[in-house]
Amino acid sequence: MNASIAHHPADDMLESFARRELSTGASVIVSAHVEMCGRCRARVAEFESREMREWNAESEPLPAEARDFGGMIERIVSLLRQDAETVATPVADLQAAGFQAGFQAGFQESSVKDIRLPRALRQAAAGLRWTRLTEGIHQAIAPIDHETRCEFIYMAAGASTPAHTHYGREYTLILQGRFHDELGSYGNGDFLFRDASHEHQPASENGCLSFAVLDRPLRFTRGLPRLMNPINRLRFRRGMAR
Amino acid sequence: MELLLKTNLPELLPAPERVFQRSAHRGNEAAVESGKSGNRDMASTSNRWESVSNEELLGAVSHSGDTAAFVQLFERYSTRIFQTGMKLTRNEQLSRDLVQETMITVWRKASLFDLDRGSADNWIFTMTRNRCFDLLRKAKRQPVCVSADDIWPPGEATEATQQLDDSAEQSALMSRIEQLLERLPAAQQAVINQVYVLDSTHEEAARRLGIPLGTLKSRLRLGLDKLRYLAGAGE
Repeated sequence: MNASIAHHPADDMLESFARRELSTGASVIVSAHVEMCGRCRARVAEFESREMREWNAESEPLPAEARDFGGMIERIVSLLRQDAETVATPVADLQAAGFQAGFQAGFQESSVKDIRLPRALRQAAAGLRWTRLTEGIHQAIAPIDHETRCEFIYMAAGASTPAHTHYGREYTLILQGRFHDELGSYGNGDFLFRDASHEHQPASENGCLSFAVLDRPLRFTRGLPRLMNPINRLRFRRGMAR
Repeated sequence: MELLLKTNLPELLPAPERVFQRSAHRGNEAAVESGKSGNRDMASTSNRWESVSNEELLGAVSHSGDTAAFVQLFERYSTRIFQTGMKLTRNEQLSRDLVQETMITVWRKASLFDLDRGSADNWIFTMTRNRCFDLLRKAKRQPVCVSADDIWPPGEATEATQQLDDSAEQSALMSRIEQLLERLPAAQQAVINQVYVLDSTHEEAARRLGIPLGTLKSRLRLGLDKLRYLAGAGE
């Protein structure tokens, strides 16, 4: 648990998370934050126990002939008899280790070390390819779903992104390090929300690894990068999972 | 949607005799009987499990792969799983698939169920909703690089509730102690503050306060005694 986390998902987002109503991309980033944040774990637990009460309350009996689902239990049992598999091997942990190794090899100068990827990000971190966006800004897209664009972003020490707003919503979770923008300064575990009403220009003094989920592409607002907007949109589409 | 084919398992054998072969080896005659006479007698298989708690059933599945205990779990939960499925998907076939997928997960992951971290109800409910999330993703042909169990780890919710209760209790206790502490002589407050709030060693605390170690220890003892007295008197 990290007591210094100051920025959290809104309560209604935590509730939708508990009810499994968010897109997979948004669920993943909220889960990663919740794993790092005791406060939000407690909030989600409250929403979960509300759901639990509903689950315990319902359950009017099915008609007798429907109750065995056409001999389903026999089929399941016979299936399990032949099923040697018990518990899946922790592939995700290996993938997290691979992510760490790849990151360390790619950014040897980085002050971001000993990354502990939250559980929800581990599988998605497998086989990522880092690409350089601009000086000091690198991105690796994780193909999580069709509705969002999910990416790891590494800002090297001293790097800043061009000023931009968003067509849609952007959620960012700081995995390690710190960055600041016009609205504040954010460290490990902080969860940020930006949309079209915010123009911002994140910059990091000592380097920062974050995970971001966008449901629409960024739109740059100033200078040359604006010319790249059509390209940026194209990249967004390609970045979405097939 | 025929999900069984997608779980990488061999094709189904419908013959119920096969189902209980292993229990027969373990001398569970009733199981063989009911296996031969079909579904209707399924309940008799589970008889000795009928008065057993859900948690114990999960334990029996986990420790000895007990089929009869598993059948009992199916009887207790399948309707609720199905109804949850109907609520979330409004699709009967998906809801049946959900019952099957959830029960298969219960069997496979029973060993991960940890009694300390919550009830069987809670665990199976989490499994139900997680499988539902995965089923819907599969139906939408989303990439498979994330599984719901990674996003909503079973057992976590109860743990968090525990933490919440603890911390609520903890903070109530803390504010009570703070009030009582103010009624102590300043010198005793200072040593308690050094040792219990700033977490200094006795030696460090004595040095910082500029008092001999012996004095520190006696003030600490007096202060704690007084605090205990005040706490007791306040009840």
